[in-house]
Amino acid sequence: MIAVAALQRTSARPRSTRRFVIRNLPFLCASAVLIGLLLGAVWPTSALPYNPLDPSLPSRFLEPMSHDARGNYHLLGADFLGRDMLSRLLYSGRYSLVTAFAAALLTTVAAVAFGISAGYLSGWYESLVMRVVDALLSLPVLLIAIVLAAIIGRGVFALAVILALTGWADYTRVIRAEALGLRHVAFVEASRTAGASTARILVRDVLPNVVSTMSVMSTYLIARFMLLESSISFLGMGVVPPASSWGVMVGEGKDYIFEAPHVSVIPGLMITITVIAVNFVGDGLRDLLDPRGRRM
Amino acid sequence: MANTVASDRSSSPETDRMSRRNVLARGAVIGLAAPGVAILGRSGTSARQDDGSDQTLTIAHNVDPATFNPYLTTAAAEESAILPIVEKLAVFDGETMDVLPWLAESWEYLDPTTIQLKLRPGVTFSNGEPLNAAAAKWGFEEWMAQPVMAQASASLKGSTFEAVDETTLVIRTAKPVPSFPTIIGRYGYMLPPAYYAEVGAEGFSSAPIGTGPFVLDRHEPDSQIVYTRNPNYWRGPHTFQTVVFRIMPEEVSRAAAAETGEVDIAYYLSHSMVKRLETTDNVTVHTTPGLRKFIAGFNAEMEGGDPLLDPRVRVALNQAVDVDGIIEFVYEGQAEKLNGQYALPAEFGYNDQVPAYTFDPEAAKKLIADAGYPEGFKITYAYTLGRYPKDREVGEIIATYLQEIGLEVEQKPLEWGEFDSQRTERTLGQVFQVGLLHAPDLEYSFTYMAFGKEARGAPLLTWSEEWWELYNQSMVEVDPDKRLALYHRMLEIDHEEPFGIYLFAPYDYYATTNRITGFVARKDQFIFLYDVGLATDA
Amino acid sequence: MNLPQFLARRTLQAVPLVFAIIVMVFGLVRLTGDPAKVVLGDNATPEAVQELRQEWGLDDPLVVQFGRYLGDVLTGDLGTSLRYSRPVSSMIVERVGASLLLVTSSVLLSIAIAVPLGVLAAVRWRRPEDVVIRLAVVVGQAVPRFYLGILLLLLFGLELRWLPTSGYGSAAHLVMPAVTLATPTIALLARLTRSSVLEVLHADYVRTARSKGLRERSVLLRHVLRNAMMAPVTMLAIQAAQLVGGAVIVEEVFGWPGLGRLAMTAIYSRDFPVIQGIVLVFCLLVIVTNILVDLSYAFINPQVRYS
Repeated sequence: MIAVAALQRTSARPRSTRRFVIRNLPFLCASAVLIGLLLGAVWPTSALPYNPLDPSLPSRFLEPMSHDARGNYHLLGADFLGRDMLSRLLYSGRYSLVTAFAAALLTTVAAVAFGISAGYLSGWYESLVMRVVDALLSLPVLLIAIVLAAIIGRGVFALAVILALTGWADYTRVIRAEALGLRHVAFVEASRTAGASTARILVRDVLPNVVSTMSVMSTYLIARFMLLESSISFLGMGVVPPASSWGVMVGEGKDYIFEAPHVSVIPGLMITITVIAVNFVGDGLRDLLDPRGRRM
Repeated sequence: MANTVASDRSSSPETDRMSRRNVLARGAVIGLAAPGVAILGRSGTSARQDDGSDQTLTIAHNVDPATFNPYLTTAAAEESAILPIVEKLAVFDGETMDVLPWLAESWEYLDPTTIQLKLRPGVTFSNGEPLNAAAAKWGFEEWMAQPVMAQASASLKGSTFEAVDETTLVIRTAKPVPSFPTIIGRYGYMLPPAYYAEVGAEGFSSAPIGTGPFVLDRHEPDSQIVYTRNPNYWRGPHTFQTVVFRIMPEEVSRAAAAETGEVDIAYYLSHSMVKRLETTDNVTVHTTPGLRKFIAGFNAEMEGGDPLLDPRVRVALNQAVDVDGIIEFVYEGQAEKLNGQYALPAEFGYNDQVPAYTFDPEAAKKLIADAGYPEGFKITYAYTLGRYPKDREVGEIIATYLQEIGLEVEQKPLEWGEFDSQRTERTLGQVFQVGLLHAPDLEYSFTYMAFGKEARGAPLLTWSEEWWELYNQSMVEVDPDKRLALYHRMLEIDHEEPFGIYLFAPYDYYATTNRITGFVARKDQFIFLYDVGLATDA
Repeated sequence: MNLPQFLARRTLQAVPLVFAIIVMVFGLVRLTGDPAKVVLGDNATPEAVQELRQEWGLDDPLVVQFGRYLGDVLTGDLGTSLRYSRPVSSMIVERVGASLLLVTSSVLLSIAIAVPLGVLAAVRWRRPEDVVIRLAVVVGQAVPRFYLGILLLLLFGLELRWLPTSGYGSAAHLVMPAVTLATPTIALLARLTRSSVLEVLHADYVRTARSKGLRERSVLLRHVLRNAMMAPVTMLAIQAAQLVGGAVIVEEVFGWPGLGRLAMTAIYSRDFPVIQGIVLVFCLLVIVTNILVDLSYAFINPQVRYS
């Protein structure tokens, strides 16, 4: 199965750069947007237009594209403490993106470890892992995440762990299915006959063959975690000030929906744009790595 | 929610049919697809418009009461949902906060430790039980026995109650209780003893009975509370046949519901929310300076060596916060400042000689350096989320102000449940921001603080020996002038050695549709429906 | 295998799952400290706490406590709410109707909107309709539910005033919450329907049907749709957990008095028996939904046998 995909990968390589660009336009645009967002996230605080933590009460709810009393220009206006919205967005985006990426990394490591081992090894170990996966899959994710956030805490790391705990199950199932198909593939059989240890087979033979699936799944995970993190934050169970995230910003801003809709509408838009970009990148990766589009 | 008053109807064929229909409806709910039909079919009872009459009063309320038993809660918002059913011995005038007779006709100090209370004759509970001196005696004793009320009833501790005749109750207190009228105005709920004994405190929680203008019809948790008129109400039947409290925790929703006319009264709004309503036809906005005093309290139980134990540090924190700025820009001027003391000008005991602190970050830094912390120190700042309007943003602002004078502030924004339990468990940290609604006599504010030391209740505390001396004197001082002098001196001490960052009391806002008359925006945030009626030209 | 046998087997298969969930839920609460202290609160003496601990058997070994909990759960006793001092099971019964109404309407809405959209996109493959639908799908999947809810509230509740902003009781109250909850599911379902219809459209038996001169509409209905619906229905089963969880946030935004609101109140006030109970009920709902979906395969495509 994987061998076929790998074969097709070569045959699907575009004949000319121009055609490649046209065909993958959404993917390339989305990648550009995502790179831009990541750049914004790693942008040093000192180089932001304004200090995102510095309140200025007279500028409270300044409208977008206007000047404050001191004549400073605010492209996206100011929030309920008079803090510059653009600076706040970049600052908060950092937390949103870092949480989602860290959680995706954690999940990938866990899911691949359990997935390939469960897929390759049969018997009680596989059954155990898969029963746990089944149980996790029937848990209402958001509710569990909120309960965990209430218990574990509200740091970026705690959130990443919570997201990973809730996102790990179906990923593991997919990886296991891939690994299952590899159990009796010729080169694996060959390694086994040659006396390679299980660990070695898993790492050297099985792992490289799930990498394409892994990269696509991980991308989608980032999108999913962005949404989940924003929901948790919206409900007031996310990171704690002075930290912030886009979900936190929407949650805070909803109280002022009468007076200053821009305070909640803009960060919500950022979440949406990022998730769209990540999804397009995921689609693009999938098409590049697996042109038949077997997976959804 | 059994409607006990109407329970004699339960044998009629009509109700039988009704209950069968309910069973069927419930079955349909379980059958997945049909709940839409079952539940939507009941919609006629929930919205005023569908009733097709003016006989229903709909109120947007913010809190779903956990109990209807007034002996088990001291939360104004919960008590507001009880007040249509259960009444008190006395009430505060909504504007002046004077104590007025209600179920009690009069009270009188026979001597400093003996109080004679006269009940209004001929009042009965909606189940037929009479409200007499024996019931009142039982009520006081039951109320005082509740652990939740330990603080509220502290000054009556050790009192004996004697029902002299049908309407006369004599109270002998262990020491003089000058604040007795305030106590019955705030807490003097009268419940029917026989019924209470029958159902128990927990049973009463969901099926309350009182002397009030309404009886509880049903409580749909997190959705609505429906009351129907008590035909035998002692002041005569109320204008409205039905009262509905719709539970809307979101301020935006309450305001919007008033705007669209879905509700007649929207409870507990803030200034920014009513801006739109002020320009809406058919809606009247009511406002009053509130009694809920916001303070960033200093934890009384800090370890030795904590910077806050130094009064200079506590003064510095007060100087670090621009209270005027917060009032101007966050409340747009719609809040009253606490001038260097935990008292409002309208309160009994206010000391106009005590000045407000001046906002001066440099002076604050210097004071902190003088106290031995030139590099600042670490401090936690806890605040509630959505418990009071604007609590979160005020918390973030103050935390930022404290950061500006060089402190390292760890913010702890907490949902009320968590905040409350951390307060109980003493893990809230050094500074915590609360809005406390006290009866308008400083005794209440002071008792709240004092209680922190004596009985592990509230965490606010003052530290001075002299203050405690004065407090004990004031608790038994019957002469108002002497009490006033004691309060003045205590507030001076609280200014020099503050027990918190004194903030402000925001104005409260309410919105009513114009078909409603007689609504009073009360300083104590209770919902009183006694005089609410229909505008004649509506 | 016939229907009762199938049901029996699926239910039996669910038993270890339910057991695993009960273990997790039980463990969840052990993470949270001493319930006796939480209940007694402020003025409790250590003696009173100890007394309650004994009464509730909190000093027994964990295994014994778990056994007791399991027994209680199996007999329908989910404990007593710390905040309301009422049986959790009756609090859940009071509100499960509102939640079911919301989730069921969302599922029906999803199917009613997503399937026609997906089929249309597939039939008009790479034409303007397809492009528009695919774009809408991309956006629909990327909008967080709470954000969509707020936007709808702003537009239809406050600006246009067509719909009530919050509450429960009439069909109008249901519209915004149901749409909000359904939107991401609609997007996902439409996308799946589109791709599986596309796949089936090129299958041999469809070509055969066409070549037999059947009208396009009946080809679509009789052959394409039936075979194409398997994947979307399976996805709907997985989405059930999502929808039930998503209901928490939607109920919070629109003040819908269902289990989600109760769950949030309970979480905010650390009312753990209630949280436990709701998690359990939600999990059971998901499991039941999965069984129902398995059943529905046979209705969609009679060639499928229960197995």
